[in-house]
Amino acid sequence: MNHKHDTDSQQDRELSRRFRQMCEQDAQRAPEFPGEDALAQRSPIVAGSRLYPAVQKLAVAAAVVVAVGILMSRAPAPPEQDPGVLYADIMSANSMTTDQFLLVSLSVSPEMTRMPGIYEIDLPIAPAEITN
Amino acid sequence: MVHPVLDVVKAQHGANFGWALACCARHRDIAEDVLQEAYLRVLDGRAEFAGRSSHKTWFFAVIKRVAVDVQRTQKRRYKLNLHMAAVDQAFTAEHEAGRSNPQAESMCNDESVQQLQQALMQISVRQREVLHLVFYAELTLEDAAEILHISVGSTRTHYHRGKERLAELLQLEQSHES
Repeated sequence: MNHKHDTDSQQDRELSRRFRQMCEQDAQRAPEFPGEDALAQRSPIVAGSRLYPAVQKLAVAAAVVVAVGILMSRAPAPPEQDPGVLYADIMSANSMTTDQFLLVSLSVSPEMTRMPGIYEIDLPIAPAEITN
Repeated sequence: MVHPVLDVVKAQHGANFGWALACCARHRDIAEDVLQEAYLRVLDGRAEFAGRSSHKTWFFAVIKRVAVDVQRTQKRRYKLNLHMAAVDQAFTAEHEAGRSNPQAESMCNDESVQQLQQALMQISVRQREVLHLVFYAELTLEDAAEILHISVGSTRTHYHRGKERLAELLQLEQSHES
């Protein structure tokens, strides 16, 4: 389908005329065709769009290398700051008083004066009879 | 210039710039960057002419591709910059709704051309692109379809609807000659 086949109306001719005017104005205001120097220089948009993935990967790799370097360069902790030693020291420093915490005053919980009895369950069959 | 294809597209520099403007909602600065990048892609071989279409059709497709890439990059940059969030919304809304951008540089003094540009900003982006390629660049609907990577049928629909809407906005007479 060719455009010329459609331009058989007044409306189309008017539109063509206006577009042509706009085209002429744009052509007058068009920038100079870039010279070799300008084409040799990459625009910031271009540099950003093309080099972005490579630069991003490079930055991540550099960050990893720096982080590993920092970790490797650190001197080992002195023996008194070793986490295992610290834990053992803390746990053995005081005797466990957990049983005392479990004691409840009778005034707070009078029901606790009588403890429930131990229920014994009578099995219908003796354990020996279960095994074949 | 030693590049043979670049010499050919250089001959249509004015039309190239017009198409770049149309692809960038008539933002002159962006259009200039887009066009320069398109020339660069030809020069360094990233855009290669395969001879399946005319030089004009092929290079217009290159410009369109670059414009899409640039808009995507700019939108990403806008999202990263909180201060530019409002600009991003305006930019996106303008492209989606086809409304006029007050920041776009007005490059015309002639009233009828200005009316046309304002009317073009009120139709959809796709309709605007098709009408530009047909009326401005004087390409066929098949060429327009190839440049925009859409079917010829879809291009024809955009063309007719866009033309009707544009005539309505410009209040053109609907009289058809016999």
